[in-house]
Amino acid sequence: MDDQEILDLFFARSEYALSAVERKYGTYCMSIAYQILHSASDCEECLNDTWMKAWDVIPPNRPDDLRIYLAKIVRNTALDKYRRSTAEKRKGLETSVALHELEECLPGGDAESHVLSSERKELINRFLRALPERECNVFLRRYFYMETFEEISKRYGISQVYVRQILTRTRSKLKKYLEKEGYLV
Amino acid sequence: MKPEELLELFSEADDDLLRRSETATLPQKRRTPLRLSQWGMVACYFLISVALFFTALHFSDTVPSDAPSPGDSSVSATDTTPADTSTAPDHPTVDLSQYTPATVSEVSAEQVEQVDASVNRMQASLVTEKVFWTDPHLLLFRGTVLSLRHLKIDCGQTRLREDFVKDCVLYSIVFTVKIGEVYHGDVEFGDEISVYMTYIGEFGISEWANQVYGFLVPGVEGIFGVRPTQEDSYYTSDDHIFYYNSVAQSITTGFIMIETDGSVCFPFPYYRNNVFTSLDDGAGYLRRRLEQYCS
Repeated sequence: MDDQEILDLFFARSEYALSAVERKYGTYCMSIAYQILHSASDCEECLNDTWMKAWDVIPPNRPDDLRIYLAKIVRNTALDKYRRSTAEKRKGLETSVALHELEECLPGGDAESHVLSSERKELINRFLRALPERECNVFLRRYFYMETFEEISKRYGISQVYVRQILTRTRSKLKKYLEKEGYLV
Repeated sequence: MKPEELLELFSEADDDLLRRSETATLPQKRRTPLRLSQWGMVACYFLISVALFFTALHFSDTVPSDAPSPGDSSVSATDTTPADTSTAPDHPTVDLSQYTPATVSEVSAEQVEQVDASVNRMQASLVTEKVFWTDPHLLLFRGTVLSLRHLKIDCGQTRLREDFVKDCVLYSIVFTVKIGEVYHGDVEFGDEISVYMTYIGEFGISEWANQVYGFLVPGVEGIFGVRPTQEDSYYTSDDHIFYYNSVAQSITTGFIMIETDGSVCFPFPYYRNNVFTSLDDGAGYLRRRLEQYCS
């Protein structure tokens, strides 16, 4: 079943849409959630929430790319779940490490940013589009998909050391960019 | 701004950037410079090729006496061009013989953890009303599970991503149901039909989905929505194949093959926002919906 047919089912309010989307994108969304939560039971809840959120927003939304749309939903849901989880349940190692890495970009710590949602999209995309293609890809694999250095190096056929170099360089650029744009104190 | 907020910010990345990061391919291997000896080999190959070309040209000029005259342009050296490819099929066809037959074996419920499963909300969903009138082949009935088998179908490997190959194992349930009441479709009271259901998909066992049908045990009564498969429908992984019907024949005679893709049974007392106090209540709801949509 192609994406348009699945979306038609969503628009027809057919619950078959949920089983169809789960069959087609269950494994894909599971892999994203698992990178953040590292817990099968948490991921199961996360995926169920993802399908329900998709059910709530489609319609009125009709995404151009259902796969990426679901990736964003499951990522946000997993991050939300990660944040709410208790300290002993925090097993999302890559998420913790990624957060630690991003602290470098934020010298102001908890300074209030007041970034409006409409500005956020433009802010981050302006930065990403200014990056060379490979840096942008590596950066997104790390901080959107939460992939490990090893996974990224295999994906792009580059060494882990080079992946680290790219990420360090890009984080430095991000820090300067955020300072320049006035989002950091 | 906190690191968590910054991490969330990447959710706003444009779709095309995310797509690009998924589809980006491995870099081309850097071409190593040729050494002197390799240059020599290249030169030799070139000289041999030139010599062969002129030899072929010489023999093509020495035509026999009964051959057409040089003025006859109907025969020329260019007639030795490769065969006409216009007979090639318009559409690529799949050569099923290249696939290795999958191995089917029976396993126990305990082996696939199909026991003591908790109910999750996905399994209580039923084919929606839309399917009732768009799918004339749908069978919708109430019945009792008589017997049940678990199958393991080993399909070699499947490629999830360019760099990620995984064992492809499908786990399926085959269960026989005695029909008690028919709501839709060409079956009758008292019929016994067998239902084939792949509950673990093509990507093999996932930790979160392999308990979905744990409630299915002999004696359970439920309302089922299923669809027949095509006669020759089959499944292929990267290199293995199995025909649903051959699986059916290997298990029982008089088997009626049913594909349950997209339809689910629900022995649970709720459906969408409706809470049923009993299966009778659920059946009444279905009858009303069918009358509404099929009239």
